[in-house]
Amino acid sequence: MIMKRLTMMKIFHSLLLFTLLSLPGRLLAVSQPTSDSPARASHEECTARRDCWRHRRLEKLLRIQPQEPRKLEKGLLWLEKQLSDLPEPGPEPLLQKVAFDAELPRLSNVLNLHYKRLYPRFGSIHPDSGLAGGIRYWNPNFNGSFLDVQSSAALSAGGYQLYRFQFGEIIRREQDFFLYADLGYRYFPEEDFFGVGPESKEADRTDFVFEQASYDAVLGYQPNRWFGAAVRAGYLQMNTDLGKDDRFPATQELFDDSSASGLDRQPDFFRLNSGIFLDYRDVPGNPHRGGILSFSFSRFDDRGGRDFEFNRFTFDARHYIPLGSIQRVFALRFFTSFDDPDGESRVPFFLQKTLGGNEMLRGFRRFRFRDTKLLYVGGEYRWEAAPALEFAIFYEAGKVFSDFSDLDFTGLRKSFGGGVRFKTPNGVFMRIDIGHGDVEGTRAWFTFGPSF
Amino acid sequence: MWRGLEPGLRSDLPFEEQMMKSFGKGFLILGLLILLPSFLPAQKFLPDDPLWKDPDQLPIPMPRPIEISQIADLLESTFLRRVDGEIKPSENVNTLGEVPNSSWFTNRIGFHPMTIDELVKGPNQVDGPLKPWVIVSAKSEGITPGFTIRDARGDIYFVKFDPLDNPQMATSAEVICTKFFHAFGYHVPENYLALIREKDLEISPDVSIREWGRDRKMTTEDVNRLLRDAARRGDGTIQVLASRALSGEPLGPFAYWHTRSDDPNDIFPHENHRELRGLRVFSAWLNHDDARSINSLDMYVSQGKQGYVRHHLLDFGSCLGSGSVKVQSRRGGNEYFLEPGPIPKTALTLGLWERPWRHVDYPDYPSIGRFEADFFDPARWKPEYPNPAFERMQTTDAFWATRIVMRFTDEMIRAIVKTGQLTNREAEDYLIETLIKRRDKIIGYYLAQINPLDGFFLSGNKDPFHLEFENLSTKAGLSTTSSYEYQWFRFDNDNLTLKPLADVQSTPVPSLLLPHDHAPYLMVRIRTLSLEQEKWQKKVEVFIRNGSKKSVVGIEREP
Repeated sequence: MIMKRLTMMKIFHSLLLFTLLSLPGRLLAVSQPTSDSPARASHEECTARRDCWRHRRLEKLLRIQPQEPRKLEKGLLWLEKQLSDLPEPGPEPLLQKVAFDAELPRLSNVLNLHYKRLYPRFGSIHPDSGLAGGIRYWNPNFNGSFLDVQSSAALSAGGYQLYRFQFGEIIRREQDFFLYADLGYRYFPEEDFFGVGPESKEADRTDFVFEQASYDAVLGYQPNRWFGAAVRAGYLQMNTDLGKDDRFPATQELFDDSSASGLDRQPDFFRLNSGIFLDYRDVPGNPHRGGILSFSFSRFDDRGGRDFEFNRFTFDARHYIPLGSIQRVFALRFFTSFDDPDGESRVPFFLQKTLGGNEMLRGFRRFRFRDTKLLYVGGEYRWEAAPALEFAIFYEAGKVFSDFSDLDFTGLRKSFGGGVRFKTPNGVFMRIDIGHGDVEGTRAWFTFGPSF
Repeated sequence: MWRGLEPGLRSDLPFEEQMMKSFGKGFLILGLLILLPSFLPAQKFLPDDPLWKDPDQLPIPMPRPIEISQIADLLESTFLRRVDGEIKPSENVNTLGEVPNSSWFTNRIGFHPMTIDELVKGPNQVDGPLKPWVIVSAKSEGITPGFTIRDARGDIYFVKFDPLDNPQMATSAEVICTKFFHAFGYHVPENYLALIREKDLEISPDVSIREWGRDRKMTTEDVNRLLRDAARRGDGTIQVLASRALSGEPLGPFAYWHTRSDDPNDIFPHENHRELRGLRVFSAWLNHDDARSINSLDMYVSQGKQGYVRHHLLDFGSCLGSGSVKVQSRRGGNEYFLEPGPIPKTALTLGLWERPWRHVDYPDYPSIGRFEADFFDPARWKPEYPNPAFERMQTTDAFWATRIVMRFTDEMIRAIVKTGQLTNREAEDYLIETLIKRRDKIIGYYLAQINPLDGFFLSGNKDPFHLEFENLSTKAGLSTTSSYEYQWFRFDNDNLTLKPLADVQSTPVPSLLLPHDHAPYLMVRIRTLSLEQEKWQKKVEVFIRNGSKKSVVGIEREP
């Protein structure tokens, strides 16, 4: 029994020994590199290191193939070429916004894609327009002259339309002045209207068609990036009609001219806008410190009577305070607008400034409140988690009113919330904000561009 | 993976007898052998080992120029080319662990002492572009505006400027770093500093520039506009960097990953090149965070009808405290462009948790930018985004690079920095001091990771021979007392087996008497015993060709 056991052990250990002795070769075989591997792998076939490496090169020579980028890489290369060409400079948007008191379309060139002088564009026409696409024709120094020509057309998923044609010295070049003509047409089929004044109700939501044609001349002066001033003068034609959104009644069905001034008659206007700004932000599109102050004055003259003649004053102040680091910024905004009608004149509801939406009072629907006077204060605490990723929490308050005696901080509508922003070093290109209003629930906003 | 020799078993008993002693022991040994593939000798020495010149310049047809997508490189390097599993040792090394001269690398200061004159001269072959300069092409848009000129000798140079608020920063940094990288051994362009005024420039009649989507002839006004955004010195001159065009045909950048399929000479995966892995150490020293594919260039160098591909590093504008077109960002060298770790931390703490590097103080030298040594940590230093070769750097690769860094004396560093011609003496002194401090940190860190013995050679013309070596930690002042434990083996180069010749011994001096043995190859395993660093006990195995002409033929280091 003992002998049998010893014999079995011997057999077992012999097998084990065989395994062990053959193991190095097996391990070697396992660790043999396959293709571009160390020279030592082929040492059996050569008698000198130099020859080993040379043989491998000759072997590779036999299976040489062109270095081709993969499809994905090809696509990315194309993308990079588009990105490496700077976008074509256009008119100064900041100056436009400040001086002309205008809601600018947020349409951007798609990278720098273009065919000849035609550039596809993407973004939004108007806060309520939904996603929009369009085309822009841009021809600076037209025919070798000093004239620039720019023309654009855009259409949104919500049926909003925008057409513009500009010619003249559109871009500020070596000189500090620019002067150009600006013709435009817009068709907004589903503009929301909830009534005028702070007591308007969300349940009274209606919509109307707003149509406008404008014929303007623009003169601007901007000696540097910190200071600019501009004047726009021209003729405005406007029209309202029954809204196209079937979910809500048309404004004309729920309101009349007494509760929505201008509903019966939309006059033509002679319009004069002028504005001035002082910009001391560190990086205008992605500010961490500094601020911007702007003031504008507008005059609207009713060309068909004296029912709708008024002056408008707006003041916008934004300030950015780094909290110990530019990674953390406290941003503040104060905005106010006053319409001052002449005598018995009124301000048409479709020209009144509004509160609510993705910029001011994010806990309320777009255009939720409107009146002849508006007050807004907002604060955002922003912190960068990465250079291209920023988070924010905000608290804001505002109100609309019609009488100067109501100019105080009582009766404010409030909202608070948070958001995430995707940025480049020069600006926010997209943000998602969720705002909760004090009375009307929670809203989510997906927006191209910064809050302020 | 450590591939050194490991007999592992007692040699005084027959192997089978040991095995018979215990059934359980057999399993234990089997397990050990599976776990320790270092039982295998790493290599068989061939007659021409160690190889000092890689024959990678075989004539080949010209490969087609390629482009590398920066975005793809960033994404793939960040997400797909990270280390996954075992890291292979560097492959393009000789049996001593050195990088042979090749189309990638030429041993310079790491191989032989360089004089101050050699260091200061760097790759330069002339004394800079000769005036007048004729602009032959221009780039008015983009991140780095500049132009290309033909000098009075007919040579082509690419001209770059400093950002307006940082005179000398980018141009001086680029020249300084070029000298360093040349001395390390890389192929780099000739980069010169020059002072120009508008009147030094002429415009070739056929030069056009693109403006607002339209090409038009370049005018003097365009040149003035380009120069208007360039930093000027007090006397109105503009310091520019003139980078002489490399000889040969450009083939595009090389990747730090895999090989070029159309270059038969390119057989070692780039991530396994020792000089590309070790580049991490050099880049950390000089804060060259832009060490990525886009800043490299392959050139087809003709040799008659055919040629070969030579690989260059270029564009050192983002080096030291310079970020090329602006001051180096605080993130530079500290965090990858996309690094998931800190993002949720910052997000969830409302930004109250901050990256420590955000609070680093930098002295206010516009010509230096952001460069410092106190916060610098060689182990934590990072390039702009993960570099596959850097990610695979092992302590053996780092040791190779650190030895090169050690060759730079304070005097050499001072001489190289002076080639940057910084006019602010205080800033220049700061830069020198910072480089010295960073050098010392690199040496201190990497020498602590591995047995720091080096410089092995045989002394004596006839028996008795001694194997001499030096302890780099002692040389660097990191260690005062060390002793060495060693054991001699006979090495069978045909069967790749070892046989101990003596028991383990120790000595306090870095000199070992060669045993009297007629085996063709000997091997000695050395461990450094020191109270200061446990890792110095890692093995260094030195192989000696033991014929009539004795020589050190191989070195294996435990990573």
